[in-house]
Amino acid sequence: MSQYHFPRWSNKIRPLLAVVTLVGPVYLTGVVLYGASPETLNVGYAPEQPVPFSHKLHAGDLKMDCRYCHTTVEESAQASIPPTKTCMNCHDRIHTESPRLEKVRESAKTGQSIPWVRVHDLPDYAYFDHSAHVTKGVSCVECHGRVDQMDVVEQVAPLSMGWCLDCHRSPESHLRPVEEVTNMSWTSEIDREELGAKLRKVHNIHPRQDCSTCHR
Amino acid sequence: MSSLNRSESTKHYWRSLDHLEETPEFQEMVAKEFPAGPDGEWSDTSRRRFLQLMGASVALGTASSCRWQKETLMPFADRPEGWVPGKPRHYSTSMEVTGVGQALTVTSYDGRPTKIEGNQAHPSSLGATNSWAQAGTLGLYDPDRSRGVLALEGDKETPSSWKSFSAFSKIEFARLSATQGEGLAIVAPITSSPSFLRARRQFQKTFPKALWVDWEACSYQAEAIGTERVFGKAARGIYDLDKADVILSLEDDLMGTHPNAVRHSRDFATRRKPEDGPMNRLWVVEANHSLTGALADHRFALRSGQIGAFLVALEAELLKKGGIKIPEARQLMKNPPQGGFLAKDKVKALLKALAQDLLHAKGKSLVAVGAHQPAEVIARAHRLNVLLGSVGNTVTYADVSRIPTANLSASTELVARMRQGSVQTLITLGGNPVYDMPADLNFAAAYRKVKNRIHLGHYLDETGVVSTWHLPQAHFLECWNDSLSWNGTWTLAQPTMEPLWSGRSATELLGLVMGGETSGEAWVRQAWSDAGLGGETEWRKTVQAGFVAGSSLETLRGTSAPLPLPNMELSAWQASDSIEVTFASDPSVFDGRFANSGWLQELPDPMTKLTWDNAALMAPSTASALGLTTGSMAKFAIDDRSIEMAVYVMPGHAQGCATLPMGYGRTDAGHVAGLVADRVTPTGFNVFLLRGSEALGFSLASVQGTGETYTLVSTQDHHIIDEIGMEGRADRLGDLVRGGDLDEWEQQPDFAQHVVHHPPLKSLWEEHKYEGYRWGMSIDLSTCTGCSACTIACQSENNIPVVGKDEVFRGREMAWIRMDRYFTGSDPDEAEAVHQPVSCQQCEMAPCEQVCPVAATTHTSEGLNDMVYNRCIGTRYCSNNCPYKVRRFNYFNCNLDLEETGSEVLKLVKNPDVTVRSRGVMEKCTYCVQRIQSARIEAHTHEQKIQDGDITPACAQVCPSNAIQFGDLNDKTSKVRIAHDNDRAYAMLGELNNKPRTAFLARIRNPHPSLAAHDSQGAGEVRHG
Amino acid sequence: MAKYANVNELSDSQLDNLLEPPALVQNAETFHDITESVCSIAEADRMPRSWYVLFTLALCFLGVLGAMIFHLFTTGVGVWGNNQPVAWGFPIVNFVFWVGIGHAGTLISAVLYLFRQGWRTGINRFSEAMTIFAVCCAGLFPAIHVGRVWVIYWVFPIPNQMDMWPNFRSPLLWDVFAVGTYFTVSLLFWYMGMVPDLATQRDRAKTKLRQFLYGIFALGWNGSNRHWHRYERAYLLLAALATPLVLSVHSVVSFDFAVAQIPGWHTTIFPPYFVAGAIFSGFAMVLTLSIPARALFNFKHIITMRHIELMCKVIMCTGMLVGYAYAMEFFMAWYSGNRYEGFTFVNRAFGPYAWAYWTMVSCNVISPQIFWFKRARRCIPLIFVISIFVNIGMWFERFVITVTSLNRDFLPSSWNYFSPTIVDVLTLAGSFGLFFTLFLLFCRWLPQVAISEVKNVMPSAHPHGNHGEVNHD
Repeated sequence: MSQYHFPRWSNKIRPLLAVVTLVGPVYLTGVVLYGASPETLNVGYAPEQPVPFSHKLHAGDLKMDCRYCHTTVEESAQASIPPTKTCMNCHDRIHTESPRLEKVRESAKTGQSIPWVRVHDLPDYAYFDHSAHVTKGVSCVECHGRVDQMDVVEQVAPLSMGWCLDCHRSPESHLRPVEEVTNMSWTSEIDREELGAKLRKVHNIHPRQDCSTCHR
Repeated sequence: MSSLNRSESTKHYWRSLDHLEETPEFQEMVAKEFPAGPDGEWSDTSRRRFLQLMGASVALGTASSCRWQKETLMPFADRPEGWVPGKPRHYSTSMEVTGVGQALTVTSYDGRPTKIEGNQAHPSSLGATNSWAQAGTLGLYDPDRSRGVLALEGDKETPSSWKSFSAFSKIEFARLSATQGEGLAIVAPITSSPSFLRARRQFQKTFPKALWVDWEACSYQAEAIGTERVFGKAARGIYDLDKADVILSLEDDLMGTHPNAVRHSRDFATRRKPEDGPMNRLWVVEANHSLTGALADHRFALRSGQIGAFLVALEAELLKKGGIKIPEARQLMKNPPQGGFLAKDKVKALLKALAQDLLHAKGKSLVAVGAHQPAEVIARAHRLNVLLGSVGNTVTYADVSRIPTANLSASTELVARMRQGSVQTLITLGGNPVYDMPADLNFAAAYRKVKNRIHLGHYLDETGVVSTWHLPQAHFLECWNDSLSWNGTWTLAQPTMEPLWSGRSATELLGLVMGGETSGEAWVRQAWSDAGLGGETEWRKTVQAGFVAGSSLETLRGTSAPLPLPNMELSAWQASDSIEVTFASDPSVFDGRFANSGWLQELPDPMTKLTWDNAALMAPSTASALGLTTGSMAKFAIDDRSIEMAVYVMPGHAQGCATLPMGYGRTDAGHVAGLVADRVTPTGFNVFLLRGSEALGFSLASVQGTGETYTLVSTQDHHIIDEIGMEGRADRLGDLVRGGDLDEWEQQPDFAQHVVHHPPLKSLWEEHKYEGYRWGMSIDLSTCTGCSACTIACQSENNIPVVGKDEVFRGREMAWIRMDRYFTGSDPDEAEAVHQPVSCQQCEMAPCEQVCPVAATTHTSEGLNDMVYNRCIGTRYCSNNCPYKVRRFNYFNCNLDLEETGSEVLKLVKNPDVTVRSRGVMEKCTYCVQRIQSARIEAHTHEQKIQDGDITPACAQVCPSNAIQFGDLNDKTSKVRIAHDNDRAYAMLGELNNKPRTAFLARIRNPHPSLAAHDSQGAGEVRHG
Repeated sequence: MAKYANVNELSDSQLDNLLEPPALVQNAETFHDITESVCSIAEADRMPRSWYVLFTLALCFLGVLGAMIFHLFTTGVGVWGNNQPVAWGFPIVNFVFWVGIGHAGTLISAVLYLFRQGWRTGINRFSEAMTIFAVCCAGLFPAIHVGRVWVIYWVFPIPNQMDMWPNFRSPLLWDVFAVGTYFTVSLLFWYMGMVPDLATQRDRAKTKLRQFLYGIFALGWNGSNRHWHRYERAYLLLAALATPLVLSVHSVVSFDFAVAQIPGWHTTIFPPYFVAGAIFSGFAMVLTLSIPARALFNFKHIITMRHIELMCKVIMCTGMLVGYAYAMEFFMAWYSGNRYEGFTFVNRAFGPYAWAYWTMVSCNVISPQIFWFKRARRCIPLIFVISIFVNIGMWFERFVITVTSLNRDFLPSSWNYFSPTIVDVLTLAGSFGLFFTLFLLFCRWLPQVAISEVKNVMPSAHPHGNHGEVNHD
């Protein structure tokens, strides 16, 4: 009877098969890992805000200190979005007619909140405390980037667990003198590792890597 | 409430304060997962929601790193001065039960109260509370609370408003004041609130002819009458248990359901630690096996009706010893009570020893008597205190004549008038008379004859549904109020949030109907200024403190020469063939007012461990004589009244009687405790249907089994344990719950450490050294009363869900701290009970940690055994490998109820510092790691070290007897370290070399030397189930 | 070719009297007969009616399994009877049970092959298939028993943004690897062995489609000397590779319990005890399957009485091993003087789960004793019944170990009784559905007997001792 044999050409694709079987899985894992990583998904997230507030203008050009608005950053877990009142401190005199500030004036009038869109959004089971970091010389820049250069705030760091741990394992290169914390453009004269090591001693900083540090 | 802002301590407030509660904004806020809180800590995605998203599907789960739904941040338009978003604030307030105030400190997150603690500075609390106060927050957010004024007609409920009610009341009460209140009646709950009583006086001035009825199921009327006989005035015995060397409790649950139990426990505990000076000795004579009985050094089970006889016999014994002088000594000595149970040698010996003990400790002894006992018994008991010279030493008698007690005669009068139809308008100021009035009065029927039936209440309850007006009552966390604590300290209550459902307090309602002041604050301030305690500054200070320091009840003078008492009718004490039933308040739901709290329903009864039900408690011998056992239904009948009720066999219960806990079988409580209209079957059985006005405390009843059975669900002994189990348990009990008698301890203080003999505990590897903090806990079994407040405190602090009766039956209760209760003793009828709270022991070599395949439970550098919910995949291996079985698994999504429409408000009760667990993850005690972390951040941002006492876990904070200590074991001076170094300290199952961080301190009893030493714990296990 | 004695005319006793053991293949005239009888099944257009009946039945149960798993995933693990303290219930019991079944295959194929046990040839394909399918069922349960299936991939060491690795100290993780390896190797082994037979089927195939499919899987086999040479080598290697796994898998599975601290689990006897038990149950299952199969597809001349008798002997022997383990557990519990250990075993035998314990003992220890008698070893219906008993008994063994140890551990306060829900039971039943569906499909489409190997053990295979050379016709 007629035996079934692989056709001649099938010999040609054999090496290809080999390649696919070997490289394929590796490639796929790679794609998935990259595609699912916070770097890919979250970095660069810059939602449109109800009020086109420009950090570049206020923090950058006008050189306002972060803490003028984010008042509780040093005492609470939350840096806290400023109340409308804070805006009105100036804007009841400046740009009182500007249509871009309509929502702000309305809020000030009605007492209703302005629904800002959260940019830096940690999972709800991760507990981050601003005060714990800021008072130890971890600058806003480390996580939020050069906000003073952003017209629209966007996420620059992946804010992934691994990313947090990197710093918790070796914080030196992310530390700076506490008084410089909100100075976006600060640069160290000496090597940061070196400086960081010093500061670490001074404030006796021992970032913890226990699960309960962030998960409760 | 704008007036609030004037007060310093309460200036920072719920952000929607200015717009009133009924505005759509507020409703929307409530409808949201969490109020769109200040500065967006709360937003459209709550923790639980997130976990649920993950739970929703594999796809979502695996893509958990995808950006989840957009969150918005809602900042204040105008943030109050000094308000720090995300930081909890603390307000002092108070809660009143049966006219006794409990001082509280409420923790509030961004305007929503989430946790209740005791007021540290307040004499009747000292920082502790009972479980009812702990459950207060859940009560506040209970979705079943009535959400607005209702006008009812038959079965028709028409939503109405305060406006239309006040329109109605203006006319109605104008009419009534014309007739001086003819045909007007008030049913008011018991309260000691000066501001309320002031309003009441004014009300009675306006409506002199109105009939005012004080009513509550748990009455102190007998006590008032009894003490009046002795002292000429209604008096309240204020006990200093720390001063008493010998305490005799005649069915008075001093450390259990007593209104002052919290302070009692604290004082009692100070005398139960052998190393801290001489121990006291507690004698308890009671029918039911109460918490106090479990603590007793000598407990004598006796029918409630025989206690009077026992007391007289004791008097006789004392006379014989020439210890006391009483007017009617002669005739008493002529024919002293004898026969019946008094004939038993055991009882003779007991009386002898007791009398001897009392006399020996003359002036340092104390006799307490249950308020449900007949007046003459109460009178005699308190007279004994005078005779033994205790007054001024261990007990002071305070004049409570001005504080109303439940008034049975007035109630009867009211019902009579209602029947005649001479009552046109009846206001119920918060009580539930239709449910809890004596059955024979048949209040419900008479009530319908009243034209205007106005009901103020938290729920549309049994009384509410048959009223014509239902008015929502403000929760104690929502309104201004004040009250007197047990020792008379004037305690204020300030609202911690705007009323959720436009509720008003009783005082405010009175003000409204009188056409007078309707602001609760104004009333309280008025009372304050009447007392002439100072101006605005003092007022603010007082509100901040929560009470008027140093205020107290007026102490009775001339209590040294008591009036003679008529000979007591001693018929009741001869054993009769019919069973005696005692009506007791329930440790979980009290008289039914707390029935609709899931936390309290699921909180195991401290003695029976029953959840979601009450049951008739009986002695094993009595039950078997009646052919009954745990779970079998029995018919109890008094005259023409009868109820069918499940039986629970309670070791150590007095024979020939049964104890019936009140407060269950609610038909209109809510979706938790029962709502027949909505086909929610009531939990437990309504005992009030049996309780008659002839005897509110106890009376004889006929009992017989119906042959049916009922599923009672307990968190312990889920199933009746067989012989082998019994032996096994008895065999190991002594190792687990260690204890002994005082002399044993005197001979060898560290005896507890030598109970278990095991090879030296060596590790195969170099063990981790704990520098820095080394957290640990200690639990003193000698002082733990078993009240279970810790369980509720933990539930409130850690967002522990309620799972319901069926799941508890399956053995899936979620409580992180379990109050284990064991009965010991060879004779079931004489059984003793021991309590042992067990939560995660935070083993240094935790068996759970090494078996978790994904490292979801790991060890911290400070020796905590972390449980990471968001890493857990739910293999449950850790739970299997935990020798203490303290891990709890979310078999279902236990928080689904939060999703139900109308229940969203429940979300407000969650503690924002603790992740709300979803389906399929393991959870357990963390030593309240969230508190540790916040303390750490607080200390370290100020570059300090955490001091001893900076961290208190919820269980330790609530513990009335200070049995739980927590702190740093590396700190030589910390309380917990000292406890660990105590000779009595031992590690449960330490022989497994788990190195638990929680140490138990052995329980020491102090029996009377002349009485044969009873079996110490674990000597023998008795059957029960 | 030499004619061989026709055995059917001889009675059992006469057979016994034969000097040499009865042949492994009976009344097969030629190699061709073997090929015929095996291949004809796959080539037949219709199966015996009973096959269809069984297959529909199996499919139904498979459906049930699907439904149960759906219910489970949508509702939560609570649909089972698991509770505190019995956090592991049916799923883990079933897992261990199926893994146990999955043992005989590799044992028969690999170990007996290495020991040159000729008689394995009749049944090895069978039992290998059984192994694969059993392990499929086994693998299912740990996967579905976790609380959050959607993140179960966390047990695999994949680099991730959390910088988290699985906990390599956990026996459950060892399981993942042990069972995974075992499955892979068994699968390879099975497939390898099938290649020549697939080629045979390919060559006999009539339709293009069959030719193509069998062709693909036959990997272009043409029975050349070189092919045979390499085949034998590879087969030997795989056998050598598989053999340690037979021991390792169930040892590792037993660690799930042995490593834990619970009295009744924490014991060193578990690895050998579990392996013996596994072989025991495995052989029982082979019997349960082969007895009907040989009748159904009349393989009586390939899977002969002798095969069955030998398997009976294995069962009896391993049965006694298991019995010894039971006894030894008690001894150790008593000898250790450990209060908790002691109680656990008394509780096992006389406590609330005594019924389960004694079912186990009577099924596993007592019932196989009947195989002391040759008559019993040759009475097909009896053997079938006993094999079923053993299966039941071994399921209960796992139940007893898991549940009775957990339900009453250290603290009496948390003692509780475990009772399964209907979902538990249906899931177990459903897993049988999965097993038999796969198995029946195998019977339908694949060579149930290793044709080439059987031919090997036929005397005609060694007229002049020239091994391996088999001509396809």
